[in-house]
Amino acid sequence: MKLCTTIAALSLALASACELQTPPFGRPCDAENPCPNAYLCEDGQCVPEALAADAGPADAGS
Amino acid sequence: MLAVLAAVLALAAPAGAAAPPSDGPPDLVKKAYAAAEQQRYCDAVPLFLALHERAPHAKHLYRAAEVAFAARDHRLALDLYRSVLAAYPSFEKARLVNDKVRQLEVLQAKGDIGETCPEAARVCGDWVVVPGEQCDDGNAVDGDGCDANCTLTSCGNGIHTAGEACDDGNLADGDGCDGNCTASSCGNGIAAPPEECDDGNAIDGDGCDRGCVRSGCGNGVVGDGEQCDDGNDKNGDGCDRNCTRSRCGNGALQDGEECDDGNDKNGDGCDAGCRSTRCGNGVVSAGEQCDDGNLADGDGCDSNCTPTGCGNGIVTVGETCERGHGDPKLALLGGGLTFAGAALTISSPVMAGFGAVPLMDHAVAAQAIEDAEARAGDDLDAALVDAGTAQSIAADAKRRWETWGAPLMSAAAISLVLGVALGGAGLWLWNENTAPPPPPEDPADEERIP
Repeated sequence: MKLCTTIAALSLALASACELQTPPFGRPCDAENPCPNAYLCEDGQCVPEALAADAGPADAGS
Repeated sequence: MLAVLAAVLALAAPAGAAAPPSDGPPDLVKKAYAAAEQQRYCDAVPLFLALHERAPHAKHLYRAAEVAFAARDHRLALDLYRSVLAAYPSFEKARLVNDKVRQLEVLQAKGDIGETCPEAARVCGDWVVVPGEQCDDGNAVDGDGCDANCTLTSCGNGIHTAGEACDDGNLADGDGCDGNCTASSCGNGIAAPPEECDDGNAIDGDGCDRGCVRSGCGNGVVGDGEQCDDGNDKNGDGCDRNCTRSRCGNGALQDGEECDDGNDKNGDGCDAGCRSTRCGNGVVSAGEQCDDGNLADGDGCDSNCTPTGCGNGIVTVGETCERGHGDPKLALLGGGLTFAGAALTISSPVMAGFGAVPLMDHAVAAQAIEDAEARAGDDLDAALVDAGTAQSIAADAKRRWETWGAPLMSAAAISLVLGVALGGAGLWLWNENTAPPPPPEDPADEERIP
């Protein structure tokens, strides 16, 4: 039983680890590395649109 | 001289007169007096002395002295007279004897020793006992106490007398005439070679059997408790060395028998049929389901004494394998696989642990980014600084995860699956090739399966 649980946990870990998702806040960005939706590239870092609006118009993102 | 002769003759009994029985053997008395009468004085001296030996009266010794005196053997006469006085001080003629002693002493003093009686050749039967003779009764009659060879009548004196079957002059046994004067033979009571014993009877079982052999198995005489006795210690010749008739189960091992424990019990080391207890001896004993007397497989009863069939541990025609039919190589392979499987299984969590390190680092960094984003409304710059740092950590964790973390996790999973599979297979192989075949049921009864 313990063996089966271990196998299941490992399988889940492998599945979830196929691609690690990192939150975009503060991620370096530029023209080649745009920020995801709802984020703007401001001063080379991804910033939520809501906060970036105070800082000025967005220069990157889509 | 005449006086002496007269005196001697006066003492001598008249010729032909019978002397009283107490005087000694009449023949000797007669002979002694006859010698004196015939003036054979020197011959008469030993006869009177012999008479005195047999009937110790003073007169016999006195007459011996008198005839010695008559023979003019002064020295002998003097000795004999003195002996009379010494032995019979109250002798009625003591005064006369004293006179003779003085007379002879005077003569000797003058140097007159008279004559000396010659030593007569002594023969057996002359009444005079000389060295080499046990007795001499003056006759050659045997069995009268003193036999013709002047030995006392007895067994071993060389004279065959009444009560003796033989007499070879000795008491040695086995020389034809034994020490009890019976002919050397079995049953005469004397054990002489080649007799082991001789109890003088022909009763068997009393310690010494007929044939003069000691009672017991192997003496050739059937005694109590013996079925037979052929007098040898050979087995298988009809009568075995334990005096039982030659057969399986008599306790004596013989040709054609592997063993013989003296009983018909099976399974006690030596089975009925005198074959050692074992599979293949033709006797079903404990632990055997069958026994056809051989170790061939596939003939109905296989070499492990189980019926031919699947599951008996013997691969026979129509079977490709058998549980319990151990193959050492496969057992070794099973062992190896089991070990490898165990190693892989144990190593998988270790690999998984190492592989999860970048995953954990990334999770922590992601959480820090989310926390920083939550604080961004208060102080965006500070939050961006924290988020930037966390992003760097997350990126590094992601890179490590992608380069070795994920492969390590995959390897751990594969190791686990492979380990479990190999271990299981190895254990199965091991078990199949080392486990003994299922024990056969004890037979309810022991029977021969031809």
